[in-house]
Amino acid sequence: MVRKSTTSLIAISLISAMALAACGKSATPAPQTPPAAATGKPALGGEWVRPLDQEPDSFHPAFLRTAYGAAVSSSVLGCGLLDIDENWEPFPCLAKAMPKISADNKTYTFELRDDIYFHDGVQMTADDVVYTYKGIYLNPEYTGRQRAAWQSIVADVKATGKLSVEITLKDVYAAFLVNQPTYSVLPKHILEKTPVAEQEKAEFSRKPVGVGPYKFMDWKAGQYVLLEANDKYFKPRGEKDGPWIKTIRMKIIPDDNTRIAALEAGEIEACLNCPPQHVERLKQNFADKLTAYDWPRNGFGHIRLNNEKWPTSEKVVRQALTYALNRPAIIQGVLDGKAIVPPGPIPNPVSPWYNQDLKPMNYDKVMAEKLLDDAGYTKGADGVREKDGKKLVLNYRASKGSPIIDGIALQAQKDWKAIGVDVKIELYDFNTLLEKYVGPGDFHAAFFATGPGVDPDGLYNLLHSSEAQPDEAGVVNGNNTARFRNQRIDDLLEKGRTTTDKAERKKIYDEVQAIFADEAPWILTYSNMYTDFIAKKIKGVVNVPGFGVSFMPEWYIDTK
Amino acid sequence: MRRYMIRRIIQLIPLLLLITLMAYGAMHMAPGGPETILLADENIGNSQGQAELIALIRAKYGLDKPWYVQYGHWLNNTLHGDFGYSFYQNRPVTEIIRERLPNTIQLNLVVITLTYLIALPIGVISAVRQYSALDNTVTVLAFVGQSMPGFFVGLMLMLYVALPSHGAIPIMGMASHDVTLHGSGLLAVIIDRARYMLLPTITLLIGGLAGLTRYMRSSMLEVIREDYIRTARAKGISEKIVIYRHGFRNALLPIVTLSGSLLAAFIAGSPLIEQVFAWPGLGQASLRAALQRDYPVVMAFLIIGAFLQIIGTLLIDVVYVFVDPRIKYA
Repeated sequence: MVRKSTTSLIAISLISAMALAACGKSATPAPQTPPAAATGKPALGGEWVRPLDQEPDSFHPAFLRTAYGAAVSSSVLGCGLLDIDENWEPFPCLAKAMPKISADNKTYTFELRDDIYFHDGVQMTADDVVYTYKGIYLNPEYTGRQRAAWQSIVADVKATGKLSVEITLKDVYAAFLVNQPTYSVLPKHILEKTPVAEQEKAEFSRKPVGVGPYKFMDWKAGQYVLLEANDKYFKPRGEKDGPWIKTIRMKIIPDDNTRIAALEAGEIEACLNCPPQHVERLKQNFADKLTAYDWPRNGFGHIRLNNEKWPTSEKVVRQALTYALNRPAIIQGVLDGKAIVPPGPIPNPVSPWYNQDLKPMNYDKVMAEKLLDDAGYTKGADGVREKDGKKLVLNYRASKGSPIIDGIALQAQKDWKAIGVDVKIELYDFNTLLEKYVGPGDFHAAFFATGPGVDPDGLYNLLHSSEAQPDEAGVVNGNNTARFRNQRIDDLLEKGRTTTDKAERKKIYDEVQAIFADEAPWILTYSNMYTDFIAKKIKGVVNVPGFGVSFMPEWYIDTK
Repeated sequence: MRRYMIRRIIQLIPLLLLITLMAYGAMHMAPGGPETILLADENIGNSQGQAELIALIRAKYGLDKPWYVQYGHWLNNTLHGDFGYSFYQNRPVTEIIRERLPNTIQLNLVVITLTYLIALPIGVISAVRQYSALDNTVTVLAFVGQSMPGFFVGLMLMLYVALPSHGAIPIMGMASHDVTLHGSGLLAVIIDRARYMLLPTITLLIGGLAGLTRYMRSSMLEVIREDYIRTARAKGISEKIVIYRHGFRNALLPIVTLSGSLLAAFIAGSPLIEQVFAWPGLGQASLRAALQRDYPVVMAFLIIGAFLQIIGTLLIDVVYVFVDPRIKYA
């Protein structure tokens, strides 16, 4: 289900964008001249109408699960102690400066700015930080999805002064600064009345109060959410932080085609992660009204191979399948050419952790046949290869309902048949696929989409063997459903977690990517090139690779 | 009559129970419970402890109990008027219904009224003038209308009616946020809402007219071949009175039966059309809830729908006493 997976990836990137980059990612370097200075200067005013693909679920960041909730909550609640800039590096936001780090790399001390106020006028202090991080996320009663991210990493959070906070980790965690400290801080005086176990139902989930650049105004069920500029915003990156656009109206439009029609009619002024089949047409026909922003996705669609079940348990078979799959044809055929073949599990060259030396196993049918020949897989009378009397027959399972996934399955079947591998395709509802087949390991190949996140530690739960540990029923509940177990990768991922020296860490993850590329536990099929369209009248838009144009307070409307 | 009614109402109870029981069971058999949807497929970050979290969530929402125990809880709460909390939106299901029900009724009231106002006369005329040019045209149009999927009609209307209108006819939604009752006055509000209703109404009419027209036509055709119509004509009664008094009223009987589903149709709405036009009604919400495995919302919609369907059927049976003198309940 590519659609589901892409949306959920967007959800994820947006949620991480919210967590990681709530009030913006374009801190450094500050532009030398104000954007679009030729036509006008930023000034407060105007309305921007953008779409939301679905009704939001909740605006409480500890409980929301969709990009639609996050789109609102990130602007209202604002950044965390730190934020992430467009080069994916952390910078101080609620904090005055980067934290002081103890000698054992386990204790981080943050000093807060003294000019931050919630939208109801109450000053934000260390108490709010402690309440949010410890009172909610570290609370044993907390059942939101960030539970593990906090409770397995952070030991304690305490106030060491009115504006000073100390966070202590259980173990050294190299990815800490781009994760937990980027979570928005919530108002203690509003939330403490509701126990954490009940908080998802609190009024705050529908009427959030934060310190962000926009105040929450209204939510008309099924119609729109309305935000208004916060004139007391603390502007973490200086004057350019506005906010300049007076009101943001987010119209809820669940249907893809309707969104495009509404965009063409001017009823909405953005198409975020626009469906690829519309991109070229919009670029050509609406060049006078819309600006296009292309950005590479920090994620990929991939065929997950079962590394435990014969024949995909054989490295040579996995390599041959990778070589034999004509991925450029897939990208042309089902993605309108709007994707690249990712060389390794960190697909995006903007990532500081991207391994520049890696090359994808390019389409090479001869190579694939040679690998199988050399390994003793011989073709039988029916053209299907076999070894020791066992035929190379694969169960290819994927979710149904997406032409992209269907297209990939058919291409794989055709390409693999050409090298003597018989493929049986079966499509299921996404949850059935996961629960009945992939979790229990009843598959050879299965299509999914995912991404590594901002920090390469995101690979840990995709590739570490502890994530492939089956429960007593034999079901893998972790994320390593490919059941890929590699001692060297385990060692490297563990070391990467605790190595704080950046150069050394880079080497570790370079090696992880190289081993992955060679072992081919999954076939990385494509990494999309997405396009966002924003109305021309909006200026100051910053396009962040891997995230696209997440809304930022420095945007303004050119009134000329 | 009263005894009959009481008997019928008592019969409803096991029927409703059975419907809810089957729906509850079926929903729980669908793979991927709300706990997996609640956590979605978050592959980024640290997933250790996810199994523990799933267990916590299951316990919190009572999902760890066998389905029949959950059903018992649900039934008990529902009988007390409590539909529970939506898993997805974390707020009372009744609140969601209260927000969206008026929107669905608004649209359906207009559509269903228009459907009857248009379909019945057309049906009668094409029966009376069977195989005339008019009848043939209506027949062809009916088949075309019925076989075009609603979302396609909707999209075509957007592209070829709304887009060229330059804002006079909106693409989607149900109201302009700046046209309000105390700001712009009643007339402005009515005109504004009518503009938004135009396309969804036409779409639903195109799909709905065809069926009813055909029913009316065939029912009428049957009636005008009856002996009593020939008798009426033989008595020299004018053709108008023959058709409209003697024919039409009798031909309406099967249509009355059909109308039993109307009550349910008013609230069920048309999920796909509401989705296409971003009409914030119950249909759209129920579609979303089903995909989200939002059990409390799905069950609430389902039981309301089933209840109205049954009540509708019951009402029709009662109405029969008045429209068809042959029917009497002992």
